[in-house]
Amino acid sequence: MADALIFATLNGLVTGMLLFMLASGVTLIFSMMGVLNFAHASFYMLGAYFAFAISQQIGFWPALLLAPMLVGVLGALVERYGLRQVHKSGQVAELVFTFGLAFLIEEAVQLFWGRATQDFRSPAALDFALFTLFGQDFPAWKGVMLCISVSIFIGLYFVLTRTRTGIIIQAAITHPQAVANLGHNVPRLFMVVFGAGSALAGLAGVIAGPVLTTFPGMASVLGSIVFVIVVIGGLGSLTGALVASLLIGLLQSWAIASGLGMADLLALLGVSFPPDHALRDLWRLTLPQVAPLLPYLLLVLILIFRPSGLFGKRES
Amino acid sequence: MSVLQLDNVSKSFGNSAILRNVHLRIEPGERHAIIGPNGAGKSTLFHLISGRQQVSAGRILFKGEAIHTLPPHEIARRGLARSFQVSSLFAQLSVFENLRCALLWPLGYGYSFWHLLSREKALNARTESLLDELGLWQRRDVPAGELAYAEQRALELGLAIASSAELILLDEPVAGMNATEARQALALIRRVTAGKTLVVVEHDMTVVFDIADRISVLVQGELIASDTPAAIRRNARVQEAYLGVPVPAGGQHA
Repeated sequence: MADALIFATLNGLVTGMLLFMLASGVTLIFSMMGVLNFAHASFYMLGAYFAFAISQQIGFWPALLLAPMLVGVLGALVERYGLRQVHKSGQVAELVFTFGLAFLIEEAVQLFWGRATQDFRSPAALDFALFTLFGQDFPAWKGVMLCISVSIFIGLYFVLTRTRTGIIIQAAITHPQAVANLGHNVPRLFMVVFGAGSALAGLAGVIAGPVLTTFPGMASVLGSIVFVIVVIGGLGSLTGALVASLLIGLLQSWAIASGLGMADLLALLGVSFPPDHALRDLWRLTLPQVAPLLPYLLLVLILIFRPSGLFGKRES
Repeated sequence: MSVLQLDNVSKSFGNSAILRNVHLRIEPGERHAIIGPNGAGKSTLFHLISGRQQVSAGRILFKGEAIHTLPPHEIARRGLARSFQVSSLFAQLSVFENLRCALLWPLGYGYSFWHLLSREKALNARTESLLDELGLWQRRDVPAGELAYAEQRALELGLAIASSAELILLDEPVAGMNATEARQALALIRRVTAGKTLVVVEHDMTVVFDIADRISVLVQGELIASDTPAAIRRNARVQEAYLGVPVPAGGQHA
């Protein structure tokens, strides 16, 4: 039991930190620009595909650096020549724009790479077990994923609290217009933040691509979870995004590892059913089976009991 | 040359005209108050001057140069600063950080992701002296959102004057304060804006006649008078349109 718990926790951390790399961008962009970027997970997918393409030409390690940069530049261009123009038409137009962009990117990916899953692998040099515990291997690549995502988190925290641009970004989170009146070029700041957020999503795609498979649906698979996280954490709260990311990551991972089923639960209550009962499929449900539902269940609970999210400010 | 000149400025949203053909000249060193009943367009006027909103017609000159086509940050960089009526402090940042944010650009610090703020000696020294000037020294590390109301307004004033702008627009700087607080705030405003041109939107008539040496009256989007306080008091149109109507005590501008 202990071994399962340790591995489930490690896997949960890996997933959680990965989710944070996306959720942080969504929440930062939302609180500054008021745009809920539906295309954010598409940048994540582009990161994986770009890295796949680059790694076939010049190897994985250059791709780890180049692909996120490419995605970041693309994100900045989308803000500069797309969102900024659409902004004049109001928030609904912006929402529709990012929604459309998500479809556009998905179709474009299918056009270039096809519908099939790509054989995108982590570097062969890392195909070993980082450590073996209770006879179970923990792959080195997952260790690298965790290292990269934790460094990104620390770096993000450092930049936001200690540097010139960071402090302006923090100010712009609450009052972008007041920041403009202090002489700061807010449109450029928006472009930089959108680009950096996209680059982070791209990097998440590069490191997750080999593990979670690189296929045209990968954006929608992760995209909905990212929005769940942002809502649970509280729109606009970076701390909330971190806590919710880890919460969802761990929750799913523990649920999958637990192996508990409805039957066990009922047995605890001293109830049992004959195996040919009409509702037997329901009794046989196991926690691993419902694990993918848990984030949404949590979302519903949060929306009922704390609509502003765990760390969100209440609407005044 | 006027510091600020508005020629035939109009602003409308859809079919409703908020400002109609406003002409206004503000000379260097002037303390100018803009008064008018609720919904007269005073805040809109400030938004147009500071570039937050675009004029529908007409032009705005700052020190002889057109600014009505510039984005807000360009206008601010030329030396025109404003405060906001609705509290627009960066609530989660400390008082110190708020002021630092306002001083970065004026002191010539570019954007960078790698320069550590804690090492910028000139910036931090200037921030400290500004804290002192505003009387917020002891509240240095308190998040702006947790300050008392009068302190928040003082900090807002600090953000506006940080850039050493020549022209400062203040939107109802003493609204919501009691008499003592208002008196202190006015003394502070006088002190920190000495030698600069000041334009104030204000509701409180005692404040207006106390601080201003010229007053403009805005009624339903039209500037009906712009003159000395004494002349404004005697002006029949103003009396009819504005002063005749009792001003609700402590009334908040919508």
